[in-house]
Amino acid sequence: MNKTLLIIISALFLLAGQSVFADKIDKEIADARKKTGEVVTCSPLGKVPGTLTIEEAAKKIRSGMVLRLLPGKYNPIDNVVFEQDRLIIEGNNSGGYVDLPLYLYGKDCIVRSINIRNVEADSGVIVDTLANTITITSGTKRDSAIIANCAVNRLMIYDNSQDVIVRNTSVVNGVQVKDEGKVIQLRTYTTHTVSVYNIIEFGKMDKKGKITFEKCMFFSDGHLFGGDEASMKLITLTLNDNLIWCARSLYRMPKGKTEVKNVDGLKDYFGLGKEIKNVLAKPPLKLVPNEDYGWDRRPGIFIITSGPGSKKEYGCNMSESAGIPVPLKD
Amino acid sequence: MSDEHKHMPEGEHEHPAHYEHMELPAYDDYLKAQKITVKDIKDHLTGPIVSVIVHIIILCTLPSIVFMEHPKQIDSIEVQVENMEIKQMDKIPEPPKPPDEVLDDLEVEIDRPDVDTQVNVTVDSAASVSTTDVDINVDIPDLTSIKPNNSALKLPKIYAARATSGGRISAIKKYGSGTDAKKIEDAIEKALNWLANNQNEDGSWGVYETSKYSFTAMATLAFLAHGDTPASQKYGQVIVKALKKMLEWVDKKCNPYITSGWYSYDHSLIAYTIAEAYGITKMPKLKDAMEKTIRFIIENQNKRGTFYYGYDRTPVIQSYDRDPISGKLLKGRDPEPPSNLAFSGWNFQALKSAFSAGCELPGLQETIDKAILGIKYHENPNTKEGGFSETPRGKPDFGMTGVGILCLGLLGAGDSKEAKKAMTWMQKYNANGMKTCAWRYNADVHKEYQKAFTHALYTWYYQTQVIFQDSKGKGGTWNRWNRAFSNAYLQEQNSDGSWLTPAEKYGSHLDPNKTNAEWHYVKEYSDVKDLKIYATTQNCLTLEVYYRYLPTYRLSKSSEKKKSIVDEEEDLGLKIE
Repeated sequence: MNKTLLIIISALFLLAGQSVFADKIDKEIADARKKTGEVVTCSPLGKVPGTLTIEEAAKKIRSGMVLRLLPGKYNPIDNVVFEQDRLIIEGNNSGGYVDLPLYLYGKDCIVRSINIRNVEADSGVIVDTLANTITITSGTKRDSAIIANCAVNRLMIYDNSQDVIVRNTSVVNGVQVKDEGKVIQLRTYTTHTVSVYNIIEFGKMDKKGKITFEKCMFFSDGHLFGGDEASMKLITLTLNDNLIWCARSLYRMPKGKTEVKNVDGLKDYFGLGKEIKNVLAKPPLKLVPNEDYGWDRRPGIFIITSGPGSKKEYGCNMSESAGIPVPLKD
Repeated sequence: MSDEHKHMPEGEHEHPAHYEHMELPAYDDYLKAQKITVKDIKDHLTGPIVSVIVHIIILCTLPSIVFMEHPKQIDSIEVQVENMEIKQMDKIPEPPKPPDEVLDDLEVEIDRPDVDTQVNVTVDSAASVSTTDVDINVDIPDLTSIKPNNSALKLPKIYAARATSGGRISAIKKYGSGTDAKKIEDAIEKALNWLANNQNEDGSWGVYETSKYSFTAMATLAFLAHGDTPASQKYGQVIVKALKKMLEWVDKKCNPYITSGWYSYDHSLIAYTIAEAYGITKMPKLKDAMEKTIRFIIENQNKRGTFYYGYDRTPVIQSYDRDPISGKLLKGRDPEPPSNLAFSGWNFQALKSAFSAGCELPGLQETIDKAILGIKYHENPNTKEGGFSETPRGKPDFGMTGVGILCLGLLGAGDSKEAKKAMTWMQKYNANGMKTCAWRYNADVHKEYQKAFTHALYTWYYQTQVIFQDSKGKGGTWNRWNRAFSNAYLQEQNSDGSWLTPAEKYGSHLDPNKTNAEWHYVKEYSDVKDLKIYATTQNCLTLEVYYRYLPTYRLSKSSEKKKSIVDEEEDLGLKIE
């Protein structure tokens, strides 16, 4: 009797521990949304009165400050890399497109509420963000990054010694805007009728890393994951309750290998963590267009309108009116 | 236009096999990575240790739970019930509408503009073209020393040959290698009539919104190249309407540049045309528009001196620029900006045209100097061979080599070793294509260059300018090509004065991907009328080569080998002023 009681209590405790861990991530996300600091505002060429150019801002800004990017085409002649720690990058709440590839090489930075071409960050939190590509680089001591409630066309993760958590994020590729907001499949204009690319790519590694995807929505007309096969074994990949659809394989397998059609098949390539149910289905999508698209940025992002995921349980909470993902109200 | 969509620069994550070139970790490194580290111990033992501690705490508190007093049992419960008014719902909510699903193919409905078909311009070749010899000096002026023209009273000398029908006929006779000058001028007149008759009421050309900007600019260029101006009796109103429309676009759509879509050439073509029109007319409104459009081009040149679609110039950090483990930019790396020679070419021509028209914007001359380096940036990596490619370090092709040579010439570097090597490369690899204007599939030509069929008119436009300028309208290479292209163009012209592209006219037997030719690689643009506008403007400009001299920009500070130029021109019987 006592033994049974102890087992029950232990189980309850373990579940409680997991919940504490989840709360910690939620708290980091909530903090990232409300953290404040001295604000530096930027506009293309600094043409808006009272604003700086992106190059001037890179020189002026200090760790812990907020960089507010007004929409527009920045087009710097050289890449602007921010080395400062704990920066907070945000849009101006209009959802307007910030045409700028953003490079954050400092640690513990926050990117929030912005529609931007690309984000590249080392560690910290990226939340409520619409981008073509989000790249997580590795190399700082903290070695952890959170991507939450974001919509992207592609994720690139250098997972060396990293602990990366991707939550409620939509990774969608394979469709293109046509006139009047209608869509067709991507790359039908070229010799490829479908993309062969994967939408989540991992960099080369020499140390172990952990990646967890929770409540995400993946939609690819090619493959899902890809990367250097030898390095992938160093990744502990956990897939918890995601909605997954890809036309080809869950892993862009080497030549001669068969396509991976279910999550279990990924164990041939990754160190798999404990999985909770994942839904493999094709969701109906609705376009939220990004009109200023180009070769380096995809034409838009999609939200699920019905079927699996329509009750906001998968992917980001994309707002059509705001033009970017917004926090889901309780 | 080019098939750039097939040559999109690789985004840092888009190369299908970029990691195939990455080194695999050594086996020892792999084993090392598999060893248990302090981090692993932390990861694996933190949970159990915490669990044990908490279990101890819980076990200690268990007795208090077991021996705790039970709450007193309640014998009776008093329940109070109140009547509540239940309201009817005003309206039962309707079920949500079905979603717009993503379909493989969706039909697109596009509003077509009203086309003014009421006003017909008839060909009156007898009236418009004099077949008698007129004593007009149609010698090619010294194109390497054109000075900016700031006079509103004097038509620049480079426009003299095209200003009258007599001048045009004389020029064709002089450089036409015995071809029938009247027939060529008639063909151009018929084409211009067709364009005039197919101008939209608002002054633009084109059926689709995405084609209007470029087509309006190109069609206007065709009229200007013919010597027509807003003052011309026959086409003056056509040009006025077109210029008004373009001025409206510059005013309302130039934010910060004019574009109808990502792969559009709209801004550069409109800037080019307005600069050309300003050079001829000196209308102040055109000057303002020229400065606005040219200023944007100057401000958005990339660090290599070229341009890319959407005027994107921020360098792209490719996988080979990154540390393979951290993913960060390697120290000392200088990532390259995206660059496209087809797109750059029209911008270069716009810059040159603005300079020739007397544009005095700050930075214009520096931009032109840098542009020369930009063209060289697209030279074949095999520099022994030469030639130019659409993207840097790419495989050269005939169309892009034509763009490179012509633009080097226009920008004052026609005598550079890169231009000369490229010309030699063209003559070596395109020997058949420089003497045969193959509208139908021709194995001898097309085995050398697939795009000679699908991008024929674009390639021939540049090829014609390049050979003409290189040979100054004389010699075997020019004579062979001139006879070939002029005869073919006359033969293939439709009776209404328009043309169709070779791939659309004769390419139905080929793979649809390969016949998706010229500018209209987007399926919904396969409108016959739009195709005709494109082909007719492009062919007009090609046929006008005899009298549409493209002046060369050259800075006075540049080292100019006057003597060699004098010698060469004396040989050709041309006068140096």
